[in-house]
Amino acid sequence: MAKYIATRLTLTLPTLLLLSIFVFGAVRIIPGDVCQLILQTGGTQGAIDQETCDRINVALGLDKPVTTQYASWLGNVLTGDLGKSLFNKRDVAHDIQLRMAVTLEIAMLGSLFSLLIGVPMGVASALKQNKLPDHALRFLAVGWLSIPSFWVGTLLVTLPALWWHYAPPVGYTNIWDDPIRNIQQMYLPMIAIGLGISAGMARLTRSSMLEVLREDYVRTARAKGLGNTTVIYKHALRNALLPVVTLFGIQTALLLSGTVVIELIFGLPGMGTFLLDSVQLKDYPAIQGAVLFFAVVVVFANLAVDLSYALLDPRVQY
Amino acid sequence: MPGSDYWNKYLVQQKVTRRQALRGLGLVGGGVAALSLVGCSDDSGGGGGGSSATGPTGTTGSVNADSTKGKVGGTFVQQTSGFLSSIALVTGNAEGAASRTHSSLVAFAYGRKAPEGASGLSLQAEPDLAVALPEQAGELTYNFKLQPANFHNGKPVTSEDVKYSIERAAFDPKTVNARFFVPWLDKVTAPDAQTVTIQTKAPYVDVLNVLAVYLRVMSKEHEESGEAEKKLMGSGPFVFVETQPPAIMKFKRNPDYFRKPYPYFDEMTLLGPTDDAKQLADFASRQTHMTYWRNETERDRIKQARPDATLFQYPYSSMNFFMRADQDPWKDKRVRQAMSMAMDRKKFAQVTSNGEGDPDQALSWIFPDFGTRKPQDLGSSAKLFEYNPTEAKKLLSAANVTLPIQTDMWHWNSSVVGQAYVDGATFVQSQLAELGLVKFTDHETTHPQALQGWLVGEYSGTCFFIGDGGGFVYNTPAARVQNTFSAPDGKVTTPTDNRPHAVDARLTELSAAQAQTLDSAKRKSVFREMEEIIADNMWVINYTTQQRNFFLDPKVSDNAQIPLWAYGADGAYLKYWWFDA
Repeated sequence: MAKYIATRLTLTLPTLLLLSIFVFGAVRIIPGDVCQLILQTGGTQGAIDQETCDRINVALGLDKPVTTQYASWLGNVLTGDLGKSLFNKRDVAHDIQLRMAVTLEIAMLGSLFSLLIGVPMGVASALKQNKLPDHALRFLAVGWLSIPSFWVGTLLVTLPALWWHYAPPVGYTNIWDDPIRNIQQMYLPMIAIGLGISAGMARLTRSSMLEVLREDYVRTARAKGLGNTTVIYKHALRNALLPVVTLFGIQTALLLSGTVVIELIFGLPGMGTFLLDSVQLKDYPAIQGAVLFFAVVVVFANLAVDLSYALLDPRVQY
Repeated sequence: MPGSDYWNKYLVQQKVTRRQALRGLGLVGGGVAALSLVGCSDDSGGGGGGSSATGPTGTTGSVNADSTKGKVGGTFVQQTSGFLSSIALVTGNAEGAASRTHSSLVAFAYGRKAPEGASGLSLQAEPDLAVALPEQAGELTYNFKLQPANFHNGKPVTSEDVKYSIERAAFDPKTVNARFFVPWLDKVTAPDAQTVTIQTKAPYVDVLNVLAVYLRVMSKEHEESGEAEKKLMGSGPFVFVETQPPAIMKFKRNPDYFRKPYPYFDEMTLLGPTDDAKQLADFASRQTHMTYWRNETERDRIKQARPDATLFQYPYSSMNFFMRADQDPWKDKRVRQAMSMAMDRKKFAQVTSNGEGDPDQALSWIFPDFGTRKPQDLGSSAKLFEYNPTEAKKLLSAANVTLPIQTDMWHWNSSVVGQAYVDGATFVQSQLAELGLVKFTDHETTHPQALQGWLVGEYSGTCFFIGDGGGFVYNTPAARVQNTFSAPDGKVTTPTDNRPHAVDARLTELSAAQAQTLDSAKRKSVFREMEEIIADNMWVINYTTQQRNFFLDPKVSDNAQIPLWAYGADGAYLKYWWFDA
């Protein structure tokens, strides 16, 4: 197992390297000149002389060849230095550290929500196959899959405000500072982002359960006189969860990308708004740092998923 | 006992099973959790329970015109436009945030209702760090005396700090904003610790405005220590606490502020840009006390949700349409005039602003300080603002133009300033197409794309803009008006603010003159001549005035007034506000 983990970790390095090249290059294709954006965003309109722009570009190292810029950036990244924001001169690594808690919390709460809602939905649906509860749950699941998370988020913000003059407390409070306030701020984003993902989980759990419930060992377990609950939750569900866990890993990427819009809708200072702000400002170091963060999280989330197979299925050995 | 027999029988006979009991407990627990989520949202306003009294709208109603009698306390939460990304005052664009933490030699007098303060449309200045408005020894020299004041770290503000701040903003190569507004600056001297003298190269009408907005007084020691990258530190009414860019910035009251008894709010929270729905929800649920500007449709929605809130309404200059006057067929002014006469401005207002708004002209009439006129008062050019498609076609025929004209129109997408603006562009295109005059190829751009393209004069054909009243809607109008219509040496070089590429020697001369004419009556006559030249040539076609609507929680003091300039992020006037009990 340790050897497997080491091998997988080693294999992530070329993945991350390729990603870094892609991110570095893609950022520079975004239209707009950095110095113009820095100057214009402050209210200066129009006539910006090239001399000023050239001076800013030299100060920011943007006059060097792209390959030199990349090599320099990569060298710094390996020492934990993601550079300084071109726009506000803050440490990108420090900013990411401040923000990642928000995004990771939304993503984790969304995942938890999707598991707590999606898996039981799928199980219930499978157990009541082709009966009214099954149809109702499948209808709900298809509906939730179809509705984009940003629309759900907008409804969750707008309707309570219109009907009951209610909105979650503004801003973000760390869970360790005030857990109640934190939950008040996060439960609506959790629902907005988790609903669609839970629907996918529910559908996959249902089909997986139906398959497993037809297996011989399940019939044997019932024949042995085991209770229904034991058969379903101890024997069938555990095997049915393997594809669900795989989906869970894939959906981590969806969850993280979904946080960009959800954070904007709910006004949360997470990695999503950081990335959005950085893209609009063409803040290269910040964009690169943020995308690398997301990439690393997705890669390691999938690694965790792979390793969890061994816990779920004793036949899987590394 | 009958009671115990009943319960004993019920439980023993398992009418209520353990499972049922657990389910019931779970439901109750869930209900309690739900209540804790929704029932405990923090009312971050100060001074007690929500008042539902209907406050005055605009500037009417009786007013406690004495801001020295306010009450300390509370956390003021304000929705802003998005200047929270940076706290770098000179090398970034932190002017909005710094208006809370820093002082200037002078400030604007708006923010309080008359008679104490100035109108919400006025750019009248008042002393801030300076003891009084400057003594002017001639048109080129401004002398200021400083009053005793300390920075937030307890060190005194001296004339050397003021000199350092102005020179850095004006001459430091890394400065990003301020230096574009101080080309008039010659030098700054500090003859003693409490005196600052500013010398200009030529008379310049907006010296005080620029001082108020762009030349905030920084601590030389703090700026050179490297700490400036981590926090804002000035001598202003509020002390910087923390920032979570671009979403939130927090401040607390400066108890040692040099202008007593201000400020009053214990804390201030600024919220960065977020979804419109969230902004409206926050105000409807009383999470925020002051909105950013809203258009007419949003205004009505907020009024419905918060009938108690105080509304401040201001006219804003119209959306406008530019044509490349150096390209065919736009070179001929008859073609440009025809485009104006082919536009039904009443319908335009219906499409973009709920039918509200009046016809506007390039220098806009909405600011009485500048003496500019409404289109119907522009003499022989007045008819160019009237809807007359027959006359428009005659003009095009006289100009020998093949119809329909095939051209481009460039404009922002709706994410930049909202859908109403895009609807305006669409309406212009469809109206001119219906008349058979113009066939547009539509180009929607993001703001970054526009910054390198049509916004700076780099475009083909035409472009559609949100409107800037010829620069009057900014709190440093002289430079903006000058740049919009100037063609030094008879040519326009991009990047430029002169989007129509208008080349007119007299207009260029007048554009410079208005910035240097300190006499207000003479300046107004300069504007009059500019209005007539611009209207006759129709270098920019203006439609109907818009509205900027701001809402304020009625818990905030009666004397409080949100000025139009709040859209530009200045917040120095917030020191005069407090929460009523």
